[in-house]
Amino acid sequence: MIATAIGTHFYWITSRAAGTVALVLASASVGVGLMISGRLGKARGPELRISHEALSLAAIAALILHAAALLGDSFFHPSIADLLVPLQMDYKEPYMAIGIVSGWAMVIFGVSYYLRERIGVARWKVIHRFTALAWILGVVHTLGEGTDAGETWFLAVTAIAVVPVVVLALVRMLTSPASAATQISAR
Amino acid sequence: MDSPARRRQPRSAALERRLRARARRIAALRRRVAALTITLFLGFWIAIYAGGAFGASTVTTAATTTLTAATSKSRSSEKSESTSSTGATDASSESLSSKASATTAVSTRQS
Repeated sequence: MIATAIGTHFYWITSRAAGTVALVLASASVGVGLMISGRLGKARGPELRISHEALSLAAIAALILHAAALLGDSFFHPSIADLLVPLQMDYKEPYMAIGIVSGWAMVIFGVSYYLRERIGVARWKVIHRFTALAWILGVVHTLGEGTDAGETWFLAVTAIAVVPVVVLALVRMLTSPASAATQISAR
Repeated sequence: MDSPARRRQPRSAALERRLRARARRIAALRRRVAALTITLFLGFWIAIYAGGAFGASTVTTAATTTLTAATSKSRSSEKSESTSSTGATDASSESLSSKASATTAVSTRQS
């Protein structure tokens, strides 16, 4: 009986688990990225940079599994285009489209790290900041469409993953050179 | 006096040691992240599977309770009302059975 249940829902559960892992890892990666760019992570810069890269790659892998597993789900049964093109599938819109846009942005901005010499480091840094926006879209997709979004354990996991990143982002914004310059000019 | 090549030798060995230590640290960090990813995935998979199973049984129990309560209610109304109400009872039973099947479908999707 259990084997039949796993067989029927295997891909569906795999997709949900991979999506949750992607949220946690992407949050950790964005958090570490904020620490690197801010003053908090200056002392352990190289180690944080390696962790940031590894977490980003793991998050991208989880994202790909999150989408790919749905292809095997006999109930949902989406096509490849449904999973890659926003608004292609009329299912829980606009959250599905937000998720697809967020996924693409995560992959493109993540992989752009390896092309930064070609893009130009300064330009790449500007582009890379949009990863935070992609992450926010990912959180919206999770809470809006996630099957487990109503579950207490899931909300706890989301809070544990998201709240520290929001705090780090606020610290980063308040301590950034731009805000310091604004404060000086205001005086 | 040491030749430039000899002077460079210990420095490059030290550098090599440092590079090797750095490579070890990087590999360890990557292994840790990979282990964390797999652990999280398995943990969430089990949590969702277990939660889904419990959720499904709860929904099914709730549906059964509703169905039982509604059937007994319709039976009592059947007793008290005249024969002309049979059609209405049949209709309500039909809607109940369709509700039950819908609930089963929901519970199947949730798990």
